[in-house]
Amino acid sequence: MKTKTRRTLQKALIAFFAIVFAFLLLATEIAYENKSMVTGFFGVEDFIQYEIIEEEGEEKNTEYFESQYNNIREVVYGGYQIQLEEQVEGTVLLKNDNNALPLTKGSKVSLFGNAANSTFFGASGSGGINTSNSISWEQAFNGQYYGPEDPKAKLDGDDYFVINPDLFANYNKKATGASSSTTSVRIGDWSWEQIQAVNGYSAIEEYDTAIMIIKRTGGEGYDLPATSTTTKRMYSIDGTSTSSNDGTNGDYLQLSPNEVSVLKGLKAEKDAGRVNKIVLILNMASPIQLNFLDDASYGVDACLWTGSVGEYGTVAVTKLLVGEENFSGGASMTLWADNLNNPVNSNFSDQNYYFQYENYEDFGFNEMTSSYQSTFTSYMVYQEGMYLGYKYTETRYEDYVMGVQKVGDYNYNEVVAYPFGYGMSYTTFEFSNFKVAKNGRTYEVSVDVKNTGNKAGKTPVQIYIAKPYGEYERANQIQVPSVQLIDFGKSGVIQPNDTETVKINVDEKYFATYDTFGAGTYVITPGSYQLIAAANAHDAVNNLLAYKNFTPASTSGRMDATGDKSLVANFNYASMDRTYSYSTATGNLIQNSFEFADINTYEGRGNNQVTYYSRDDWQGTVKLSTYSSGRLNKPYVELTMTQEMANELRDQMDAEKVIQQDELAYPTYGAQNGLQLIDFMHEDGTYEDYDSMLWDKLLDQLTWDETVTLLSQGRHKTESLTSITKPGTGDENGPNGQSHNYNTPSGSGNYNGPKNPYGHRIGDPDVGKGYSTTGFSSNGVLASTFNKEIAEKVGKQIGEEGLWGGTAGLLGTGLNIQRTPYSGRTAEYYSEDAMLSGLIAAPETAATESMGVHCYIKHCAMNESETARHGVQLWITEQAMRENYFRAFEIAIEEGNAFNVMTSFSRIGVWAVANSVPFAQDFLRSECGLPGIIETDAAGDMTDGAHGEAYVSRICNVYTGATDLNEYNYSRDFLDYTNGKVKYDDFAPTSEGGPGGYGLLAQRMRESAKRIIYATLTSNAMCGYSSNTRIEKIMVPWEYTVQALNITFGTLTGLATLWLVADVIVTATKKKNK
Amino acid sequence: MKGFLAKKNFGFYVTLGVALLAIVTALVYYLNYANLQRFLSWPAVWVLVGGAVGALLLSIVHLDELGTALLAVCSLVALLLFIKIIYNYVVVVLVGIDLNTFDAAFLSSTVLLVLTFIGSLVNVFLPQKKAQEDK
Repeated sequence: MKTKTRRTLQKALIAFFAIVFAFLLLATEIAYENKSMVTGFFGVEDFIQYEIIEEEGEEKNTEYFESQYNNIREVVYGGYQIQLEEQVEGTVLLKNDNNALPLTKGSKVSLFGNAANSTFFGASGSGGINTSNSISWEQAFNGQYYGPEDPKAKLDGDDYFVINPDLFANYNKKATGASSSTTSVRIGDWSWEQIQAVNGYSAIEEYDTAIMIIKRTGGEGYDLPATSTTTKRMYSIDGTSTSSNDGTNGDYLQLSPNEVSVLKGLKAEKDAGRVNKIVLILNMASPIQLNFLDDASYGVDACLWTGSVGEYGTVAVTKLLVGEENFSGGASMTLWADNLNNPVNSNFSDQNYYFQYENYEDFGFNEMTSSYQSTFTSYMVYQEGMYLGYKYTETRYEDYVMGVQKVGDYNYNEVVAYPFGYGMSYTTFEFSNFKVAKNGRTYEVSVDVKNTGNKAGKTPVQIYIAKPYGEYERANQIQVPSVQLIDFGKSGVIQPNDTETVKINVDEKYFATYDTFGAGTYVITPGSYQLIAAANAHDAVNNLLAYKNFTPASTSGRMDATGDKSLVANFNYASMDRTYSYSTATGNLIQNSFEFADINTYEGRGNNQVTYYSRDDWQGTVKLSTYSSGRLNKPYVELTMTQEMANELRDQMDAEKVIQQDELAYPTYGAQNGLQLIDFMHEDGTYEDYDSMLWDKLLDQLTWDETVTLLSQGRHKTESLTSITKPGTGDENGPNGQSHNYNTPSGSGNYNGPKNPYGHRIGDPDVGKGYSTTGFSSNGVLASTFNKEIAEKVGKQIGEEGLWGGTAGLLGTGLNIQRTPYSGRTAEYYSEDAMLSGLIAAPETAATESMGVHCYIKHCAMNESETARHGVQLWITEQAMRENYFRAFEIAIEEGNAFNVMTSFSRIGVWAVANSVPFAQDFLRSECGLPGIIETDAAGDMTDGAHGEAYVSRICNVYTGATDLNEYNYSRDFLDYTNGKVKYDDFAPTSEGGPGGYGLLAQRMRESAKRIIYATLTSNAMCGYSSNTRIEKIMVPWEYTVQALNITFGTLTGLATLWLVADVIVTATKKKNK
Repeated sequence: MKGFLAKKNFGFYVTLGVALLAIVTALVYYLNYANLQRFLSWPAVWVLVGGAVGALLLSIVHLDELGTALLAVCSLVALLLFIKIIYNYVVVVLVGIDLNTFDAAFLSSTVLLVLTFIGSLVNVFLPQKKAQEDK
């Protein structure tokens, strides 16, 4: 071989081996940074469990939670049945002119709309659900269903409807269908003209009914657009318009031009006698504006809202359509006639809007236009204060009827299409004999509900409270909505002409108002309080007005219906009652903790001042968005950044400033005390008291390394600990149910997979055969049931599925508030009302918890928008924050035993919730008595800056006690990318090679570790573990493979280089010798 | 100077081009992420610049082959450092929840780094001097 050729070969070999070796080293580094995820990907556990069988002694029962099911098929079929029940009771009938519904079973229908062949089962992101066994609209209409024998094999029943086949094949199946993402949304229906051109259209006269099913999607990471036109640097992210937005004026929550054309085309066909009925199904969690429903030019005969329908909800809705089941849902949100008349939208960052301090650059901050997440520069003001949703529409209505000054022009019908709580039935009900008796701190309410129609049915009974709004309230800036939901009940099935007495116990606690500027705590202010029974919020106000002796006649028609004052009960409080200044959960004093949330009371406010909505001046305080010259104009509150804000934004994440040296002793590490976690579970099923001294002995067994690992590995799991035999836990999404298959441990699932599935432990033959957990309807549907028993069933099922599938934690449920329908995650949240959210979630979470699945209720709190969710600064009054937002979480923790929380990405004022000590320690721990883990949302987004600049320090938040666990899989001790640029090891004791002197941080790490370990102890992760069980860390197969490859290519690179060098030397020597 | 260039083969001009490309890449990468330092690997920037300058200096002292090897190694190291620091962003985009398209900063940085690496690698095999080295 010639020298030149040989040299080229040598270079090529070196290059090849070196490049492969270099990329292998990089891959190894990245793989070890994400070790548990990689391990999960390859389907093995990084901890192997083995059991030491004692030579003597009896075998112990290690199943600590009892299932109501015997095998996986029963679990799956149970989920199917419960989801049907949820959807039956949560579907809301909005309109049914001339008894257009029910349809006759077997009747012939033509399908229209973008969801006819593209069912909206569930949202995206953490609201995503299993849809592998879902039943589409078409399949449901064709009579498909599941049976108990094999609940993943669809069965064919009788047709509910005969679908126009040619139209379905040539239009429904070919229409684009809706789609949405962070940067584009499409409604995707065809125009009437296009539909008329397809084969099958001409046959519509043979198909009596036109069913139009339309959907709007949504999901994590983006809000829905209200427009496609924005102006750079005024309030847009980057001034670009949303791509592919085909909504009317770019508004996703209106009928699109094509949908308008379809409905009007159908109306023309109906007028021509070719279509008998038009039925509209709103298959969406975020409802569109509905001012067209009563517009005669559209001709819609019946309309129902289904939310996202979960895996099987189409079957339930089909049964409702033909009258096999009866409607009994009440809307869990206000259905707006016109979105422009929803004032909250003025201060909401929908997909294209993004409010930023005009002067942020003065303080060295940058807008992250590419990532859509400027973690320091964006803000939102909850200017509406207490007047959110129906609390605005009904309060202003009451003031308008009563002729209060400065109420302004207010046409209720142009604002509200259907009020909060509204829902029709195939029958009618009458409420009477309203009685309220006070028994201690409980108001015992009873209402007689008579079925006055001719079909059996159920109905919600909603109880509202009207609180005084007088001089004291005005003087102390307390805002008081006209009526507020305080509790509810639901009747059983009532036969025609029968009467049932519905009894509801109303907790006096919710009479109290948060009085920020007066008492600085919750108080029942002196005055008259009314409890009101009603079918919806608007009826409640009319009942209240009737109680105040107003009538339509006496108000010149401003009052739109005669109320029923017999459904109002009055109670007087003569003096200030401070009973609820103390937490009912813990007995601790509740006091102002969030002055920094309200820009008007924040010390660093500078010249900023916000005028919140006030009942005393609707006209002057409410600013509505307008659409003009092709642009949506939002009269949002403009704020400027101050130096104090900038300092606090930076300082809170600066470990070098936050973490101070101290002289506190470090905890003991690595002690050999012979304790195992299972020892803390007693024979009777109770647990060692959290404050027991014995815990210290157990925790002393942890090593420093284990502690750091435990706190650094929290992405959908908690880590295993060999020193105390703590099993790892799988904690999975989400708010709409579990999202995994029934498999063997690990190997599948979102991030880590099931850890300890009961189905696997008992050797169920269906493990690994594709049976999956239930995808439930959007939570707004569950709330619309107004049925706590169904919520409990759903929660229990989610718990069962966790037990059988191997998850000990549920990253849910979603208890943020549907502040506006444009919120991307409406499907995960329950309602615009915190009481309804909390009272439905409480039985649900309690039931889930009862199966050893700990709920991480989320996103606690104030995560009402997605577009700017990372680090957005939210400004709000403490009263509104507590009563309209925190309350949902508070009820779920106090009444629903929710064990853990997941914090939000947002900020309260300038303080990231994950960094906020008042939020964690004052509210969650001291007031609510939260026992378990406070976990961040996906912490990498905040500490690692994947979407913009890092804004939360994972070490600072543990140090301050704001957070216990950062939900991320850091490498063992990853750098904090915030200002501190430190690792845990930089604070280690000298015995571990650290500098020492940070005992307080170590103690706080120990406390967080204890919370995590305590949560594991009380979860189903302990099932299968006895005092004889030990776990041992092993090296998993992929590690051997990677190391072998590294050694191989490293050696080859070395050999190739050696060959070249030797050859050069030999050649040179030969040359020299010549 | 004329004599210096007379001894150089066309590979030398490729070295000049790749070195220039490396410096441009370093500059573009820096400008792309100057406001998002989380994704800015300073070692990558300096390695690129160092590789380019080193290759040129070695060429001047007639150690052309060593220079091309240095440039290739530096551009490979820079690419690896970039991947190491940016992979989280790629994962976020691929997951598609918060972002679903790669931004211009990422695309331009990636393309330039890859081009620099490929260019420098190919350059290793190109003749740098006119005088025959091996017979």
